[in-house]
Amino acid sequence: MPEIVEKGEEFDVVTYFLQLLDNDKDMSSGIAAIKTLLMILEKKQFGTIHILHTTMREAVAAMRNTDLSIAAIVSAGELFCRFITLSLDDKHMEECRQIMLHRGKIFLTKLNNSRQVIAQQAQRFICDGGRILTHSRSRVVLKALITASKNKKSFHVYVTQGGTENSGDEMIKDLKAAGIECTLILDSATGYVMESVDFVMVGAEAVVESGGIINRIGSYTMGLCAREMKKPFYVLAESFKFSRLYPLNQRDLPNEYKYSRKHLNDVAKVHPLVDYTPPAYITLLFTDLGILTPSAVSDELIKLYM
Amino acid sequence: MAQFEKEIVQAVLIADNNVWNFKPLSDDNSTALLPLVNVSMLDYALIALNRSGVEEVFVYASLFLQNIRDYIKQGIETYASWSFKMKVQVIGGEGCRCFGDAMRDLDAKALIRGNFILLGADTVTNADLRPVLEQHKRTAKFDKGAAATLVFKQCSNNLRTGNELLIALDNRNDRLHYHQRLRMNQRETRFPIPLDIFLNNSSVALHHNLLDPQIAIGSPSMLSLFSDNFDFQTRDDFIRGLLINEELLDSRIYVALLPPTQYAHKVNNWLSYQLVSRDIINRWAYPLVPDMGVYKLQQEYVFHKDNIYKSHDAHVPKVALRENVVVQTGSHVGTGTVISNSVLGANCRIGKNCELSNVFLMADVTILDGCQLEFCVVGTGATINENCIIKSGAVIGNKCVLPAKTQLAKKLVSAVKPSQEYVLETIGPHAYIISDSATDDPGDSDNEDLLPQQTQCIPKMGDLPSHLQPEDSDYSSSSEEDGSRAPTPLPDDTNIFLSEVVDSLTRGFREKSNPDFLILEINSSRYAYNMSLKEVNFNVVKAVFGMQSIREPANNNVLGAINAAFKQLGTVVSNYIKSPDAMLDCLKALEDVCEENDLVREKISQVVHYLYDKDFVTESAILAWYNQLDDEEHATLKQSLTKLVDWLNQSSEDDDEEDDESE
Amino acid sequence: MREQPLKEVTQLIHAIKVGMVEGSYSITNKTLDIFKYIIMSKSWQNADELMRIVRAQSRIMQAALPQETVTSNIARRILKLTREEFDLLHAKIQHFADDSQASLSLHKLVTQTSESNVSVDYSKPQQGLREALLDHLQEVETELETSSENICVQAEEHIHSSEIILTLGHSRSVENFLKRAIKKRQYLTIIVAECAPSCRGHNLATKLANDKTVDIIVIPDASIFAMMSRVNKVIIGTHSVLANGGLRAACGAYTVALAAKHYSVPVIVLAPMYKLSPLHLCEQDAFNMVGCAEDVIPYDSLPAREAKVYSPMFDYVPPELVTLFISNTGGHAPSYVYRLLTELYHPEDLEI
Repeated sequence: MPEIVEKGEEFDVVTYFLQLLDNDKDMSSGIAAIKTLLMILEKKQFGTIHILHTTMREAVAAMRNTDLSIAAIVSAGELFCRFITLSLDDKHMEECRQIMLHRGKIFLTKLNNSRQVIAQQAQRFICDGGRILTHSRSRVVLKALITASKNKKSFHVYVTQGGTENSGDEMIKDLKAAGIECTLILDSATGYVMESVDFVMVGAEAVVESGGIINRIGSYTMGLCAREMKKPFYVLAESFKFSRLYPLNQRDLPNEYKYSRKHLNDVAKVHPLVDYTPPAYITLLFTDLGILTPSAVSDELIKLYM
Repeated sequence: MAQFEKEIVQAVLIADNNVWNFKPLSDDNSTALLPLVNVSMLDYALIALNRSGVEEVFVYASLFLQNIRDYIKQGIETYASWSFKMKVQVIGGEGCRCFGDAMRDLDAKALIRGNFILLGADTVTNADLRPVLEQHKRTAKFDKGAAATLVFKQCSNNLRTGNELLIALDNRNDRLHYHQRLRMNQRETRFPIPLDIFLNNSSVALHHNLLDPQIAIGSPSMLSLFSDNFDFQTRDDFIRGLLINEELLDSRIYVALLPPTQYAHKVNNWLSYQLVSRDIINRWAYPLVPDMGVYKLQQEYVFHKDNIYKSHDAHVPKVALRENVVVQTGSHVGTGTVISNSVLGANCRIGKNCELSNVFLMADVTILDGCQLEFCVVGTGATINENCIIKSGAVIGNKCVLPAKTQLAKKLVSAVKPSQEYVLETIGPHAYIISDSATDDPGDSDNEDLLPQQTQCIPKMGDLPSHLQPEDSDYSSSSEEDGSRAPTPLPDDTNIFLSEVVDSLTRGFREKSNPDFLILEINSSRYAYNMSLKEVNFNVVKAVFGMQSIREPANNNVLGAINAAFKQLGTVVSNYIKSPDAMLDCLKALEDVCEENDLVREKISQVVHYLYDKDFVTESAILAWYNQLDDEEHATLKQSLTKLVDWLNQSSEDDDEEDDESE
Repeated sequence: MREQPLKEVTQLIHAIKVGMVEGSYSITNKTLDIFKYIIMSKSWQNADELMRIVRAQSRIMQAALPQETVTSNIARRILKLTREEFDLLHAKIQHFADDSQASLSLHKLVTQTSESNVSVDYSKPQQGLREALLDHLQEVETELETSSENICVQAEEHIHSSEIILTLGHSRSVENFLKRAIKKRQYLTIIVAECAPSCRGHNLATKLANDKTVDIIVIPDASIFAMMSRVNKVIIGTHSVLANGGLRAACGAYTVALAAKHYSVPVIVLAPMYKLSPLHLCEQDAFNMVGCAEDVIPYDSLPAREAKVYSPMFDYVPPELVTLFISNTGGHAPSYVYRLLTELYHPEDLEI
């Protein structure tokens, strides 16, 4: 944890948040959000639970205003806010805070480990001589592939460019560093390549209540192609990415998810950053809660938010 | 209290067969423990017995007795499949040299009570032997002198591995009358079968497509027969002895054929080793296949497509395995290597850029980069250095070290230096090429009962002949084949009918008998063989021309002969050739005759003219027939007939003109 | 093998391999007997040891027979039972609120109370555990015995008079189901696909044809698509049900399912609960068993020398092609299978 620059009352949420992400490139924005909220819990004094709630929501809103993908931040923040108010008896405020801090730390430890758990589950599906297609850059998928390669499996990965930011290039660099054979392909070449691959494995920025995913633009096309060519479409996502959205189609996604903040005014002129893949195109979701079918996701969310 | 003792099924397993054929690997360990697709052959035999409900097994071995004993003990400890409900005992001694000695020893020890199953340790089978045992018991009840029931498998392999035989079998009671093992190196051209077999038995069948997997059901009398006759050395001796001295010994041998769905094969040399490995990998011997884990408690391999069996912790890049490969645990294969149709034992290390095809590696073999191996066997712990080329049935013994860039074909290499007379060449400190020919001279190679190990040299692996060649290779006809084949082979009945008609006509012609009687004879033949009218017409004419007198006429005067024949038999012919269709048949018969008989062919137009003159055939018939003759097939025929046809046409025009004029 | 197998376990494995015990029901019964014997024996003192023994034996059986998943399913049931009984007894003594949610969920993740340890300590010796387990095991046994009956009583709901039903091969559940339907409904026609090469469909046809009121038609596998347009329902059994709702069924089931999809014919799968397995389809596992090449072409023929011959025993049917699962607890959609799994097995036992 980096040193807090400003001590005392004035604790800048956004700076801390961005600092966390700067220092550790591997950290997901959701985890960083939770860490920030935990830090707020530690640093600030609260009189009542209500103030705590409000402070948390303000913090989440502030983090949403950064230019990063808000899906993970929103869902992680929601989750955190949710559970701090669960089954707390009317104890003294200070006690409550200690309990919440403790819980928060356990929660964080579990989540930090989630990528490892998911990578472990995916091992059985990655086989020797396999060809995998993945979309743009996902740290979970990267971890899964690196673990497989450490288990002496040899396979080939096709990585799509992933839009204008060339995040595919970074993925290729990381894969090459780990000694995995990979090829960079254009997003438009997905249809061409689909017949030669064994399965598709992508990450997700958020998992919505219907069981579908929100991921970098181009995932929907990949899902459609995979369905048509009868290739399995696997999604690797940590459990804190489960969100309460239920989009019915692409336009139904809230604009804040799709466009970066500066373009929100004039959405007609820019490309969206993410798209929604409906659950019908997804074969399995690998999460730290286990391997789930898309229909199981809604069940999980209902159980949580009831 | 014999009736209170539950009758248990006993079996005898003979190990140490074919020690010579498996040199040099048989120098270090028993042939029964030789791994076949990574499972020792003894295991296959024991499992086959276990699956047939055998409860007590005696394994008879003379060499490496302790190794076999240790192996059995280890198997029982690790819960091998055959150790359930089956007791295995290893007996043997240094003194017995052959199958006969083993039988005598068993008789002396009196361990066998009742009928028993006799199997060789190198037999691989998935057959259930219970029905065969029942059949033997029934036969034994019926015939007290039934000594043994031999079990054979029907399989018309075009390849000779030394297991094929020819037997003569009595159809009614499956009794064996003649038994001959087919040679490996050269096909026999004749089989001397005693005539008595056919004279004394009303229905004898000759089976030439049988494989001998060395399975038999023996009765208690079999052992005593061995004790009584000291010259019975091998199984074949026993069979021959019993067949020759039937009355003397009052014992008979019966035969049971395995149903086609059950697989059985004996591994008696490297060639059959290659064949049986291929069959096991291709799942013909199911459930004795590598991935069913039949002999061990856990499954060792996972089956992938193209018959690739890979163990869980074998590190093989997927692209290296082409097809029909078995890779055991702990093996490493380098990049760029290609493996097909091979078996790799445990902990093998293969370097980069090697080519392995039809190779059988035992455990702990190291092959360095760039080697090319084909159709060979490499023993345990051997090391083959870079860029070696080993082909065509070479066998590398255990722990050999081949120096780099060695090229071998068809040789046997041993790590230990045997006595000087056997060593042909020394290629390295741990590699000696040893001789593979038999010590005792082949002797009379006409003696067809000799087992292959006594022939020139050890049969080795090689490229199996492709079976997609058309079957004329099988008919590699010996030049003695006389008699030309009919160009249009007729179905049997027609042939018989034809020959009968020829007989009748020949006789009638010779004895100058009444044509009506001949017609009667022909008609009765016709009804006997259910011939249609067309066929009768066709064949009668053919028969006339088929008579000896026309076939080989005096002074080559075929026309004269025909004249004579038709004078006598004309009535017969005209009785049948009345309608235009019949005439067409007649002429068609002439076509056939043309092809067979050169003399007729030369004079065909005159023959046709003769028939026309004598009003056997009309002009229109001739013309119709001529027109439907195929231009290509019967070019010569058409040519010869052109003149006649032209003349006919002309004369018909003349006739027409005359008619026109007369009107 | 680090663990030593029990004598009964090795005998059962041998019996299954040789073919003396066959069919999921008998294998499940025998496995249950083995576990009962383990529970009754004196070799364990606390829940942890018992679970370790059960896991070890189950691993051995799994390694020996990877396709027979019913053995590990029963092992998982036993493990879940052990945990539940232990928690129940523990809670009674220590007056804790009964945390009935055994499944791993976001909720559980989030509400972990900080006082209690994350995992329950099973190594505390517990009084009365053995008796409680044996009682519960009795219930499991009864459930097993009545599973066939419970499936059959639902026959009336799903089959109506004058219907044409297609089935494949010979499944005992389907046989009893159809026999019940024949008793209660009239004018049924049952088309049985023979399911080569074992042609077990013939057995089913003979068993059903005893009743004169029903028409039985036996068809070769190649005619399945041709007959499908006339069929009202497809009812098949399965070897096991996978975690995503897909099936590992007899070879030919995929053909039937695809043909049914094409003509929009509902596919009903009869699967008692002991066939539900938390496995997923992975290429690495030994998913399919390949049988004898002799079933396809004879050894003694020319093509046998040159051709590669496959005779797979199982088919994977994806969950989209299945309309309904009928199990002894009622009818379920394929997408609901994950829920049934969470109820049957504890999440920590998914990997034995």
